[in-house]
Amino acid sequence: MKILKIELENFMCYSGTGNVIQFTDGLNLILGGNGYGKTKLYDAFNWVLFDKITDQDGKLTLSTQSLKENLISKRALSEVEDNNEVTAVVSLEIVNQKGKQIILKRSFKTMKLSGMEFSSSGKSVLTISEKGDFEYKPLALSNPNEIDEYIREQIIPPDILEHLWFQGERGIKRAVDTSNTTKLQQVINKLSYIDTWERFISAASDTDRRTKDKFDKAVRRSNKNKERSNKLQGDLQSIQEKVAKIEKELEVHRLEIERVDEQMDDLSMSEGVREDLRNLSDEESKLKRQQTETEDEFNKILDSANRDLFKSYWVIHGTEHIAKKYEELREVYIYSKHEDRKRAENGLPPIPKGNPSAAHLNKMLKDEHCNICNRPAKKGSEAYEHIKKLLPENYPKVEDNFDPYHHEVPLQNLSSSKYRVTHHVDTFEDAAAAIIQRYFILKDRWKKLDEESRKTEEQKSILLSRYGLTSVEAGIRQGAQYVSLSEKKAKLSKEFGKLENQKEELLEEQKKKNKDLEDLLGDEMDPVLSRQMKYFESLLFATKEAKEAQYNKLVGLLSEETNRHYEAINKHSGAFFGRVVFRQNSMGGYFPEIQNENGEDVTSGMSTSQLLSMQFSILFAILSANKEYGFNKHYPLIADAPNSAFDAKKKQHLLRQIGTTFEQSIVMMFEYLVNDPERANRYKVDEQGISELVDTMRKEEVDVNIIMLDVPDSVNSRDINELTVQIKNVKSVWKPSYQN
Amino acid sequence: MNAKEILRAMIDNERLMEQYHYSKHDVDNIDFQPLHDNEFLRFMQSAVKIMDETQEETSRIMANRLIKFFEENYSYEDPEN
Repeated sequence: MKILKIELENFMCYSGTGNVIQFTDGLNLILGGNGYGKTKLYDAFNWVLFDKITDQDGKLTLSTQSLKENLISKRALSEVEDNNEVTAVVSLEIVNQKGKQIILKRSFKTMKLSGMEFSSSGKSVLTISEKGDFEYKPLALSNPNEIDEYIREQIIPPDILEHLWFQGERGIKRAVDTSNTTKLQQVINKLSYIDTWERFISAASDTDRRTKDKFDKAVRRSNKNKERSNKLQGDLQSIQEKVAKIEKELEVHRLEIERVDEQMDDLSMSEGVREDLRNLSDEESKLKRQQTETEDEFNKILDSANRDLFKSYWVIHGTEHIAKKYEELREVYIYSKHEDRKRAENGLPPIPKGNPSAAHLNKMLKDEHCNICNRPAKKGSEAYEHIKKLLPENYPKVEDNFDPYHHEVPLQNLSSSKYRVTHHVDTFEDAAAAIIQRYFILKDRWKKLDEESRKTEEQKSILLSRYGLTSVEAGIRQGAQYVSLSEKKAKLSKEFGKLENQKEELLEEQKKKNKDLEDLLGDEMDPVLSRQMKYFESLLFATKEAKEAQYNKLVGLLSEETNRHYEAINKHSGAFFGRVVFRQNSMGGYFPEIQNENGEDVTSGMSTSQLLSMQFSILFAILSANKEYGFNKHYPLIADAPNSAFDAKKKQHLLRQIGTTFEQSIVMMFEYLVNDPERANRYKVDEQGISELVDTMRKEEVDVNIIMLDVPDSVNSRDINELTVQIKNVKSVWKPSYQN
Repeated sequence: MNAKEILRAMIDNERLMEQYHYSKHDVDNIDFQPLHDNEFLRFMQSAVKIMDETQEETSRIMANRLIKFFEENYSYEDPEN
């Protein structure tokens, strides 16, 4: 099947008529910004075929009945007059595998009552037309079952479609669920026609069982060697009962193991991850402890520094002024002392300096002599009374042995205090330097701890988001659950193996007894029936063995193809990407893991984009590994925004793999667009990026058809009542680099 | 996988080769026509053809067709026994 054209009329954001996209073989790239109609286009493909669009989980669940007017362009709804009808139409033109051209046209009509009130049947109408020699003729398919069958037979089987059409990263995970061995096995079975082998096995088992029943009846009817044959038949009956019982038990075990497997898959983590989570938790606790210790120490030195600073502040506070004053006073004192000594040598009294102190005044009154003017001041004289007036009131009389130079000692004390203060300042400065040094060491340590803590936090959030966990503790708890499930599975598998051995032994015994019975009855038994039993037994054996061999061969091919795609997408990055290996579980299912060169499982350490590229690779491989059915050759891939986790180069390589794997592909994406400097809030095609992509595709001989979804300048793209999307063919904007 | 490949995959089995006395050469050259000299291979040619033709049917119908085919075509003694 190939898609030739899609035409949209008033469908969601595609208002009006003439919204047509022509598709070609190779890669059809639909470029559009967010809200520019990419997803609505994806919805249109699903709606026209299945009368449904996908929900948030990518499942086709939203029917016309539930969507009604939401299927119709808001602009068309707002523009239509009251009591008039408005219709959304999607028309899809395809050519099917047999080369027949078909048009599917689905429409949904509603009547506008008033304002935003509408009336509709909630049902859409689909017409299917096939091209005859000259023109399209509508088919008379009215019954929904007939339509479903026609779509399945002539266009695309819906169960295959979910692996070929997907939306977003969640879509690719739905298309190929690699986290669950059962689901992966189901996808492999479905897409590789292993299912056909299962049907063959079921039919061969049926023939085998029915022939054996017939044989048993014939044996019971026979009269030859009755006693011995009765005994053998009794034994065979008992063996059969035992085998049936064991088979039941095996089935119970198989289901239980499958259930445990699924539970383990749901927990989505291996013992290694649990160990990682535990280590992360330990590391987190250690870092927290160290951070608390550092904080404590930090607070301690800050306290101590504050205390010292407080003390030193008050010690030093004002001492500078005192020291300065002291120096001045000391100089004056030394000079005065020297002058006074000279005067004393000449028999002259010492001269008080500045305002005479009370002590000097007292001395002068006692000596009845003014030392200032060096004249007698007899008691009662004017000079005496003048000196007396200078003395403060109630000033005590000084001792006779008054020494005007006695303040030399306090001055010395003051000097020594000054020295001590200076020393203290020096000591404080040293201590402050040590504190600052310690402060920086602690700051550095804190920074490192913080860095480690951030890394641990990052690792933690990667692991938590990868395994959908709410906390590390929850992960460890899940891990413990995982281990317990793993132990349970090991026990069940052991019992399963034991039961299988018992069954094998019983079947061997049954075979022997059957042979004995056949020998005993000899020509009594119908040789045709004997041969029928032998041939159908062999047919069952051959079918089972062939299926197993085919499955193993397919997994080998799958592994080869997966790694071819995986390498092509990741090789350029330079980062380690390993190799995808399909490991077989105890029940024969396969699950993929990424291994390093030593064969160690490193899946848990891979980035989201690498894991996503692994899923893409597996899907492409499943679709293409089986050359005979090659869905990649028969149906187009349609992917809406499949690769937002990829960098630009990886996106280009993914598109190359899509282009080289599928005969036709339609990929809607936001990439290869840049802001248009000439139009506010609008995009234009990134010509360089597109040219590089086209060059890459040309080397692979893949055609590229580029369509851009745009919103006219006059329209407010956020106003849904106005919004309309324009479809532009932009192939002309690029030219191969060799023409540059 | 086409019917011929299915047939080849089913008879390419050492135990069956030994039991029914045919060789790898027979496996490599098998097709639906002409019918093989070996009785078992002839049976397999027909059985696989029936299974392939009734792929879309239920396994019960497939089994019925196989049994009916056997009863209609093998109501004589096995020449190899």
